[in-house]
Amino acid sequence: MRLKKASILFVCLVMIFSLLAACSKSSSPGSTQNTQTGSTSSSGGSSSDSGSSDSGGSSGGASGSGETPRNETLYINGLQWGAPTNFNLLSGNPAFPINYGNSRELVYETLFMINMLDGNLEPLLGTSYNWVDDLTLKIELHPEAKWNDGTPFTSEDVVYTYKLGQRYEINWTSYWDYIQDVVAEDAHTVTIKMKPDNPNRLVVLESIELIPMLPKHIWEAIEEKAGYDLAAIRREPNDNPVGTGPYKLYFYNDQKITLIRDDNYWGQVLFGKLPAPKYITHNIYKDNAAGDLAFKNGEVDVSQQFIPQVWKMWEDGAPIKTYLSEAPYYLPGSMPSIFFNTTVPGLDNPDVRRAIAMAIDYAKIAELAMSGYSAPMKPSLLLDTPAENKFIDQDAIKPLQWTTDVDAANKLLDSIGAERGKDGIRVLNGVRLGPYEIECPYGWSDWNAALEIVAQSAKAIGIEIRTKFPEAPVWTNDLQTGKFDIIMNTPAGNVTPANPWSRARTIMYSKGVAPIGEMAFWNWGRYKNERADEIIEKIPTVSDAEAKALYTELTQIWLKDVPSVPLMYRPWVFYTVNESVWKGFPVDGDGSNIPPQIAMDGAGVKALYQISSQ
Amino acid sequence: MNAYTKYFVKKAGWYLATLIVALMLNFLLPRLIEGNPVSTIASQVSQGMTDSDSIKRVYENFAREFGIDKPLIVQFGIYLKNLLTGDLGTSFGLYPRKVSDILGSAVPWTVGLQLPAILVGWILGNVLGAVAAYRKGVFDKVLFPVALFINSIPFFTLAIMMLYLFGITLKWFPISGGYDYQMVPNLSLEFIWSVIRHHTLPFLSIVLVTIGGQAIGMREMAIYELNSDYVLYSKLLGIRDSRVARYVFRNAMLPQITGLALSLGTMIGGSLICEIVFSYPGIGTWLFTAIRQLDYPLISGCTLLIAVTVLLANFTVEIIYGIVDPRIKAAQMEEG
Amino acid sequence: MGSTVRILLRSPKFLIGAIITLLMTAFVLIYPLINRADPFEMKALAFQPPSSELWLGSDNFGRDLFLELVYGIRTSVEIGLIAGLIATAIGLVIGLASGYVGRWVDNVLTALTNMFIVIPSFVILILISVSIDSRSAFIVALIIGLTSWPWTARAVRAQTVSLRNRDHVNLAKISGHSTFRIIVFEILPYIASYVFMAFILQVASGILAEASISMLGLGPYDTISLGTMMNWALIFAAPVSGAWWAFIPPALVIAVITFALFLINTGMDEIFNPKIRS
Repeated sequence: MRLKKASILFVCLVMIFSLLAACSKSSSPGSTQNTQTGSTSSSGGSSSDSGSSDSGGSSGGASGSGETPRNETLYINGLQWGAPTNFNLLSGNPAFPINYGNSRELVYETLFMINMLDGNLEPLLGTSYNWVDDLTLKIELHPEAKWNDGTPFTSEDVVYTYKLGQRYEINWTSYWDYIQDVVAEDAHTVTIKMKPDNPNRLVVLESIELIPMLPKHIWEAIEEKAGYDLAAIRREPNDNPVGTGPYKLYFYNDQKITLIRDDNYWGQVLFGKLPAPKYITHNIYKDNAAGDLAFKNGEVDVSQQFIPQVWKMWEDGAPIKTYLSEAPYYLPGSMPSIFFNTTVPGLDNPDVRRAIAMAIDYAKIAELAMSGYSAPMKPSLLLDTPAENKFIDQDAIKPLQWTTDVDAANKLLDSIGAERGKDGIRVLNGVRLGPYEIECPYGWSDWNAALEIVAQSAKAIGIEIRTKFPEAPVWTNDLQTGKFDIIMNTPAGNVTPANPWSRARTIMYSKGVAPIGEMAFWNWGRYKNERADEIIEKIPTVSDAEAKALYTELTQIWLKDVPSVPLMYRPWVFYTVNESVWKGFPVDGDGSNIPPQIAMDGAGVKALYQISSQ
Repeated sequence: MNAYTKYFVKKAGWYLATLIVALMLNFLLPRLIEGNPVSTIASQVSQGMTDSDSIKRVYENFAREFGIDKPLIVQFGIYLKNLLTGDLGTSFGLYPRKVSDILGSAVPWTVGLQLPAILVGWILGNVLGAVAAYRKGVFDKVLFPVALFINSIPFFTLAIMMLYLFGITLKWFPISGGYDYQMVPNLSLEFIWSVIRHHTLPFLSIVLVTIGGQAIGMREMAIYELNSDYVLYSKLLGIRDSRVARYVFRNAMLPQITGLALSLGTMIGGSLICEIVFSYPGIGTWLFTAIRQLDYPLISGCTLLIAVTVLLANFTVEIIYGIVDPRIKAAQMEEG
Repeated sequence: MGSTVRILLRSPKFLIGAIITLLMTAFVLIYPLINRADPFEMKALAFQPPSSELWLGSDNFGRDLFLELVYGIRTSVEIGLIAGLIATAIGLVIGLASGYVGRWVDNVLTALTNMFIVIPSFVILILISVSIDSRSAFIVALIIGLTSWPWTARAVRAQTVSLRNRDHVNLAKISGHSTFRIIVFEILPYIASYVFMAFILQVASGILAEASISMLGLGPYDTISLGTMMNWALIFAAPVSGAWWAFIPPALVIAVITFALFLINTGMDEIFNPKIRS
């Protein structure tokens, strides 16, 4: 009995102790933690697991309580999976809202804002841009732009930011393959000069809407303190980032990140007023399911997560909307595809690849895997959106496009002499067509489902495909070293002026691709076609009108050789809103021309000026 | 040399050897996993890059920063050296956060969940088992199959069913996290209440399973003792039942205490599934995340912690046994 | 042998456990002969509730859950059996060797066994599963078997040590029989029943281990087992969608199978170990 009493006492002591320990850990300031985005190559991918633990840190913001009034706070999820570690763009893994290429206009801003509806670049820090000659782009800057510490934003900052990419290996270093120099003509004008031997307008235009502007006066000091060593610079947490954007970092810990509006934001002259939410908070959920549940309950206002069967939510009565009120509910932004390893016997034959492409039940993938969020698949290198389909001659490619036709696929295989063996699997020239392993990362549920459907579809035409879902780092390694038979990935999944060129390059360009066994960062199937390489090199140097013919020819080559097969259309970012607290989010047909870019990225940030919480 | 000392020294020596083997294993095993730990962070940095060589350079830079470009032996040496100063390394996935920092913040949650749950389950289970063995009859006939059934349900299925029933359907308890999202850790009553609410479901699930296992074990031990000669003899001698019961339970307890000590030892490792199902922010979740991300230092740190606690618990039990159980003394005398 | 079986049949626990196991085995073997559909086929939309066509509804891939359950039980039990066999075999060999031969062999093998016990096997299981490239049902069973033998080894060793000094063993030693013969003919028969019970336990724990490891996503690729069914249900957020039919049936089935095996084990235990009969 003494044992019992003693143990109860002990238990109480331990619980109190652990509570105290948990609490005290959290008030340690500035503890740096880290993020992990759910997908490596496409934004808005399904998540992988991440743990959240207790210790937290507060930024250099006002109070440390972290609680904000519900009707002044906009809640978002789906951009941060895992505890925040730092807010440093150069670190490689900054947390929301500093993620590169996502939520770009909240703290740091880009020169121009991309609008996925029409593909235009709308003015922000930059007021206009034009090509003064074939190699030079001139950008005018807004004279009233300033940093949130009061310092004016000038062309020096632009030059400095670009040149960071020249000095260190960071996200925007590769633009310098095409840029010769960035010059500050005067305080509010910048010119970008391209290299005469390697010009690429598309990529330069991408840079002006993608690179967030960093303040020279802050980062020069950081560079010096770190001794100009990237590894040391990376360790700078930067948890009170100085940017030109309308929000500042207010509070963060392992469970959430909160921003507070800067009422001195320079952009009031541009937009006419301040953004409506005083606070923006991103709760960090462990996985999709937790985030979806919270969204359904109205705890989250804007969700960038994949929500299966979203229509059920508003049928249940919740005030939930997507950009399109009917299927496919989301605008397409990328085409996750499967890539064939063209060195594997059997898969090296374009007819075999085409047969597989014809056997896949795309309707089922759209319905089952993508929950109906994909329009029927029309295979092409280009998306069927206003921004991209001006570059293609639909009639020229239509005869080559495949559709789901199992009979035709079987006939094709019969015609090339692939006879069915006793087990139902075909044999071509002595090579058994199977077992081929098809892979994608474990836990990316829509991809997993899509690949299961592909494997089943292939069975019907006598090709044996087996699914394999390794962990994400293993999949990345397999992808890069070519250690796969068929692998799924999204080629160039962002909406940028560089698409569709970027996408075509990722799928077909063979120069710079190391052989199987070494790391390659595009064209993982090691496909090679010289004419394709030529076209890809030519497109960035010609005008849009001339590009149309080139893209059409390239797509025809792609349709004939089938190095990759797009499985579905996926939105660039998912945009689902719950209007129980904040109302007035942009939807299709409301005439606002505000794109569904989660209310905080590119031109989507204009949504923040339109919503209200009354 | 005294028999005791010899016993302790032998035991200590063996445990030290096991510790070294454990160290080597938990250093080596993660690194055998295929895949490049650098790829998660490197692919984020190289997003949008178009030049193979610069992308490769990014990967190589990170490999150098993480220290994985050196040969394995050298890495092991560095690892050991850091270990001696208490530095468990820097996490790859949560770069640049230190492993000891991550573990330090997670341990209180794991301990706070497991310790009370194991203790409560142990106490309740043993009491139930002893009563069943003593009373026999209907109580025993009902308890035993029920306990056995609960013990057969794999822990995670029990956890998921409880989550589904109490968390999602009945909405009595929250379904994830250590505390409410809106809150910030502080010593307010609200926060403590939130922690307790989030703590209940996982706590109950562990308690239930522990009760099942303990009840069965205790019942068996008690029956064994109750049927032994000395009990029969005592009863025939007319000694009071309660007195006999005291002796019986004391003897039956010994292996159960061993069991408790060992459970406490595996407390940190055993929490893995529970924490994953309930998204509880403890060591289990971190270990699993680390394994998925190939975060070598974090994996090694977690497994080291688990191995050390288990070894410590085992060692303590052996020492206590050596002191308490006269049979061990006798065996030592015999061999010595 | 015959008398042993007759005694066993009188134990209610053994009987119930055995009947459940046999019924399940029979059902799982016969049903696929009646319903020859392919369990991988995606017939319906995701997470359809049970209906007259799909008795347990559909899973996240739109597959027939009832059919999957049947195939899943088969796979899980197969894995459990193989893992159990491997674990028991290794445990038996090591236990016998260290128990009978003694001296330095004993010290080394005991140290080895204790090491395996002390380092949590589940963690090693996870680490090994993540590191291998192709995971088939057989490989998973192999790994489970290779990490769960220590308990059997320890128990066998204890039994062997207590038998070592029995008269008939000494007699055989004096008669000059080889160590191997002594172990096989003098010791093994006496611990046979014990080993069989250990085997049953190993099978049960093998099934549980497979379910646990599959549920974490580290199970066999491209296979339907009870664990992988639950895993898919969790990834596709079945609990949140209210699709209880996707994860509760596999969970219950696992519980029933292991319960039946534990019953068999306890029944046998009571027969062979009269001291714990209540």
